[in-house]
Amino acid sequence: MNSDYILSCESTVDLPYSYISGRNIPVLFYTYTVDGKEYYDDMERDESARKDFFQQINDGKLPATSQINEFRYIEFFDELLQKGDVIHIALGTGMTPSVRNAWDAAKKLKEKYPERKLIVIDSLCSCTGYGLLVDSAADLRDEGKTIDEVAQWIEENKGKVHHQFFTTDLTQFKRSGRVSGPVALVGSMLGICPIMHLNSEGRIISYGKARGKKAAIKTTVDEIMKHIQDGENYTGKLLISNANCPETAQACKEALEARGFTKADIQMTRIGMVISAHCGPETVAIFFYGDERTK
Amino acid sequence: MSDELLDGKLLAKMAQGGAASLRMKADEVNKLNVFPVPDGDTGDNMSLTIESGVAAIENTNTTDLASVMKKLSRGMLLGARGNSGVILSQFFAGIAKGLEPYSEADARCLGDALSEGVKQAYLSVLTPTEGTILTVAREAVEYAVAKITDDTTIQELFSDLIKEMYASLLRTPERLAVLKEAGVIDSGGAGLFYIMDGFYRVLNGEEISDVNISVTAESHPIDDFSSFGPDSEMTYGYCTELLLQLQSSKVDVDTFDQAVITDFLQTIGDSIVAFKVDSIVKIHVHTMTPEKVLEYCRGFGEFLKVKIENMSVQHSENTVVEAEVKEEATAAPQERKKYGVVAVCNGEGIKDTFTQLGTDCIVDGGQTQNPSTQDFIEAFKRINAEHIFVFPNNGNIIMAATQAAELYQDASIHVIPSKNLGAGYVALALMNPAEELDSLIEQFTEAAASVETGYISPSIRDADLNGIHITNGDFIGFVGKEMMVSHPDREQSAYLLISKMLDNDEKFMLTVFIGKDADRDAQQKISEYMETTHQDIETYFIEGGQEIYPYIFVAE
Repeated sequence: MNSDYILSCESTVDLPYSYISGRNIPVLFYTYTVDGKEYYDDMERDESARKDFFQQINDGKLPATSQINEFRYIEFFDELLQKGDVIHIALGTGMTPSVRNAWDAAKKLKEKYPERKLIVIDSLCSCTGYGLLVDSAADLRDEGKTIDEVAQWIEENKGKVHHQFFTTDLTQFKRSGRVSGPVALVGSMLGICPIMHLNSEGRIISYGKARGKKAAIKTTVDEIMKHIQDGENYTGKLLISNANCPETAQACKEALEARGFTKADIQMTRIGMVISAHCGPETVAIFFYGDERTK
Repeated sequence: MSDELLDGKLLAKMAQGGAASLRMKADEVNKLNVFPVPDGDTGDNMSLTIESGVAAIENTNTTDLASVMKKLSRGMLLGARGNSGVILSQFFAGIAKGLEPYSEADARCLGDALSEGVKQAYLSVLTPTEGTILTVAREAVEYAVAKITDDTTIQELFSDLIKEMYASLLRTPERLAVLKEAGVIDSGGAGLFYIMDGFYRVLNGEEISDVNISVTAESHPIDDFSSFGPDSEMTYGYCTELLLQLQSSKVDVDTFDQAVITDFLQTIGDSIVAFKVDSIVKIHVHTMTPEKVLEYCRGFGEFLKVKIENMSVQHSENTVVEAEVKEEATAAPQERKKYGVVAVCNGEGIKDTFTQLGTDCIVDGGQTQNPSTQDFIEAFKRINAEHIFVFPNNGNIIMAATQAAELYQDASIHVIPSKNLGAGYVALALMNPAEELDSLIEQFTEAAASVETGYISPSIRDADLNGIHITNGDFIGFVGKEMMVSHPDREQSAYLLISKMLDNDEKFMLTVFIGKDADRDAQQKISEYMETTHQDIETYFIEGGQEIYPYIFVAE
């Protein structure tokens, strides 16, 4: 890479660290706490950490996550700004208010680095959808686009990243309290899979219901068809991410292929621990570019 | 009294006799159950239906036949429970229609009215089945009407009616194979016979001993006072309800503030509700000293109605009344929403499940306790919605719900024909307030029809049904009206039923409602069974807490 600026992100892009660091994208890590012990988000660096995490959830442990504070942002940006200008894409505000701390940090660092440019963007995305946006930004950076051109492109396109997902176990979603929409997540939704997406504000909206996994997969594929760019002729990346239910994810992939998505670049990815702490092990999420998300 | 015409007074006496006659035979009628399962309820349903009619004419003094008949039939329509109860109420509604022009009637007029009753009863059922209450009513009326001459007395008409009704009742197993197979006569027909027999015996001057425990549409019969004996201690107090008519001789009616009453009630009781509508104050209180309530309240007016019930006796019912009254009082004028839901169920866990799935008002009931038309109307009144969906969850409750829907004006009522718990559960699970009405109804109906619900129950007699031999005490498993399995062991019977229900490759999900009388490790045992035999089926467990059936299985 020969750009004169740095593109950075946070660990909740939910793509493997080896991939992101291979693309020269510095990462600021979220943390999670289980049983009073704090861990760094893993990004698939340590398979056993992932295994332990889901075992703990299975055992009924309640993992907690916290936003990244201003101090950690200052520390992270300070180091990057010593090397050059920075464009940082942050996890969407629909999920966490962290980005406000990043903006505050940026203001303070302005005095220390008056000649440097630090752009902090609220992605309004989450999980591998956020990863998809960051990945696209890295493509543009590598094509030689300037920092401002990249920033403009992100602002124009972040609303087109779709996050379509469902779960067969609502426990963690309910705990996280981050879900709104007409379909309330209630105690006894046994076997009922709420159909969810992120709206234009990056908030989780539960708007449909399906009985059982098969019906949920079918509805999800229907929803993708409604919104994806160019229908089944979509040629971009389509990422299928799962927390700890690879079989359900695989079934989704097969359902999509059966629907005629042969040109799409379908990749299987995994939801990281910080996001999993909120969505639980049984979530499958599909990310792609489509029409403008609505409220 | 053989030359007498039928007038309102005589009709009222006959109706009381009919109600008393069936009340004494209700248990016997309950036992005329096709399945050897302790869940028969036709006798209770029909009894409550006629009682509700009798309660409606309790205080009428008029001799006008048409007006008494109209009140009787209106009371029955509102009190109708179960399919037999609804058909019975429609039979009487038809008779009322036929008698409308008459202040008194001779045999010919009454015969025509009875024929009108039969016609209306048939019309109330979508697909009339012969060998049921319909046939018994029709054959008896046809027979009696054919014999009417100018000289026929009311008494002779009833004599013919009863004679043929009995004969027709005994023929029902010949008309309906399931009856024959089960070795029973039709329960609804039997209920009708006992009612009409009561009518006839009153005509003959017989006093039908009437252990008149007042039963109205609002309350279930209290037939068990055993929970409060000579040595019982008064612990729960009395649920006391009053309708107080304020009197201008005692207070300034317009400015009277009910706080005067609530402040006092707080010193002698709890669960207090009092609200004033025009010049009437409705009061509800739980107290050890109901006499003080009466004495105090009488200072402001006179009572329209007083109800005092020992809460040790009908404790469960009282909690219902209490909840109802509380809700009424706290119900702030809320915004009218688009959709409301009424569901019929029982078992604490099942009720919780339905509530969480979005039911606004649960009507307590099920196989052994069918809610009345009036119960549904009361439920509708408590929901402020444009559309109300009703999930009867029992084939024998759908008609009462539909009858209520027809009588109710303030919302558009949609009865989803959920014939069993599973159908209602799965349909309601898809409730999504964001969807359009038509699409929701379609989804509900489709879901309700695609579900299979299987029940496990202890049997109460030997039987051979659907090629399955049942020994008294075995655990039987059935789906809808089809007997599937029988086994002395409860869980073995459950496994057999599951495997039959999942026989079909299309099934992908099983929900198990665990009843009161299930194995303590039911969930673990059934999970293990499912893991070894049906790994591909998603299985879910709900602590239903239902009576009678240790397990209810819902296969999708």
